[in-house]
Amino acid sequence: MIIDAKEFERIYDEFARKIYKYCFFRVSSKEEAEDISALVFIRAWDHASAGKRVDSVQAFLYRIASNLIIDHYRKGRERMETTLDDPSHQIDIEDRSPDLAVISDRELLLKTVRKNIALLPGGYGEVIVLRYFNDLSVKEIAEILKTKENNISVRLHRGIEKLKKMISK
Amino acid sequence: MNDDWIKKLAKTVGREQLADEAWVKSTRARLGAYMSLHPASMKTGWRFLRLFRVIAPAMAAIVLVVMTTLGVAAKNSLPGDTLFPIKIQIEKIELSFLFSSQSRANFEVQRTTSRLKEISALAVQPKATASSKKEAAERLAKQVKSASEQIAKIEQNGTTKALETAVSLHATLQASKDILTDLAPKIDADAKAEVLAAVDAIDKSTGGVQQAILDLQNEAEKNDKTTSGDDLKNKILVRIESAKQQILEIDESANEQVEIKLTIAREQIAVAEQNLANNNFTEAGIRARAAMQAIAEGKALLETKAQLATVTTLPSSSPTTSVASASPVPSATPQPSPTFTATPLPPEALPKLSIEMKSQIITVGEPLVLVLRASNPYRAPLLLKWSSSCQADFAIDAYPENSSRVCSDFESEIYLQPGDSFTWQFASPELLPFGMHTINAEVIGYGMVSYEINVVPHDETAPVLPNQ
Repeated sequence: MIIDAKEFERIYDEFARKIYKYCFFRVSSKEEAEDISALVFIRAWDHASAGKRVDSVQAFLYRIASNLIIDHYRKGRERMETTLDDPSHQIDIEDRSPDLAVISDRELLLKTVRKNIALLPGGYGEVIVLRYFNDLSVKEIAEILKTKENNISVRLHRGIEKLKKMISK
Repeated sequence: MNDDWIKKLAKTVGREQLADEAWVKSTRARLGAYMSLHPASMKTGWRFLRLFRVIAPAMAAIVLVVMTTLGVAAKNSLPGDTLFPIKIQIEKIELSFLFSSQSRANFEVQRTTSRLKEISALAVQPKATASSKKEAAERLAKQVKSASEQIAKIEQNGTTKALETAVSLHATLQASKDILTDLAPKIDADAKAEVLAAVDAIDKSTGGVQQAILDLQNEAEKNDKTTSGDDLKNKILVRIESAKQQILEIDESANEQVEIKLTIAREQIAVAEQNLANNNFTEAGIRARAAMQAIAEGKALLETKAQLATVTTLPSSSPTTSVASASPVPSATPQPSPTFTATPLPPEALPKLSIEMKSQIITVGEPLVLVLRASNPYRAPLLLKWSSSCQADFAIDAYPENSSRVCSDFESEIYLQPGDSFTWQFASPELLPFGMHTINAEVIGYGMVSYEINVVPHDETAPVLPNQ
């Protein structure tokens, strides 16, 4: 697929919020998420404007975002320096199965979820965000991460178990 | 796999809109600007591009020439000038190409310096209208607000960076206030009122920034307390090293206030290191931050003063000294002032003077030939003016005297571009006795410089060869 300027603007309108959401759950602040999301579209335009083909726009954009987030952490930027590490925001959920009712404050819940997803090892966080927060199918995630669907299902299963334990602690 | 709970959780926190609509909109606009600057290549198959390919270079060249010429002309414009709206538009375009929040914050601080330059320039300009001055004050207040908002945004990425940027903004405001306050006693009542009004406008804007700095300092202190001992120690060590490195990069001799700031920074570093050695990390953190702040203030002072010095020109000028002189031989014809109106330095700006001779040791009977050089060390053009033909003079073991000069009664001037210099060559008919002598040379009205020479018998200067 060849993308021209008009088509690219339409793509932006369709994906800007989705890409932001993906970044939002994977970095430590709203500002970082905004910076990285903006950069995703710059990179995508650089690619598209050079006349290079794009087979799946969705997979293409998420892949750029994923790579930028990896770069972001590789560069060793300070993470969680402010709100997310604030001990006053820690929550306590007693039941093994997380009872969402105990967390009445949505903002607080959001912070807790983000923090724990960020702490998940080995790419589990990424698949969870793509599957449950970005609403992508296992097949679509496999396409983005260039791996087998089976592999994604395993990662999802393990990731959810780990996340459940972390939040229930 | 039982994933009901996470589906429920995602529904609660993640399914709804998270992106800020203002961000979506502004990023779309910035992306549009980026796309127009990096258009799609011919491979994209746009048919009309075949024609566009032919005319695009010519169009681009025309647009570039117009934009560059206008941009350069608009850069020095002030509120009330025809080109001022273009200056503001150019700033907006520049901002639209900055994507990271830190670079946007830095740019906002730079824009504040521009607003300060404008308010300062208008305060000392006799012909400036009241509406222009009002516009300048309003724009400054608005600009400080946007800079503060941008700093608040980067706070989420890290308190340290936000604190540095806020300190830099505050120091920029403070430095311009100092310059205008220094200027006030030297000008007439009307201009003084304008300058004080500008100082007042700056004062009003400074309060909020000061509060933001205090808040950020508290936040940083709180963060330090929640960081583990080893991590905090490493963080502080990095801060101290960075502070030391930055001190080395600043030319403190250029400004007394900067020197004071750096002395404070050095003291704070020493106390921080002492506290670090005693495992008192919280205090070490506070001291290291104080050092970084003092450095940021020093840097901002240096930059703002250099920039504002070019706009705060007093209405009256011309050096007061107009004396006669023995005619020196200028090395070149004085350059006339250029026809364009470049922003001159204030009258108290002085050239850098030096004396050059073939050697500091001369032999008896050798004619004394010296070159007096005046250089412009500033970033703006420097205008030297005399009310007579006498520009420079010298004396040996004495000071140049007005009474001995013979000058023609016409004005003369030399225009020095940044980094340029002008020289006068003198030859003394006087035969000097053996021993040390002092040459005092003066650029009349702009300062004096001294040079020591040693007059020796012939054999003392003869080269000594290894085999002799």
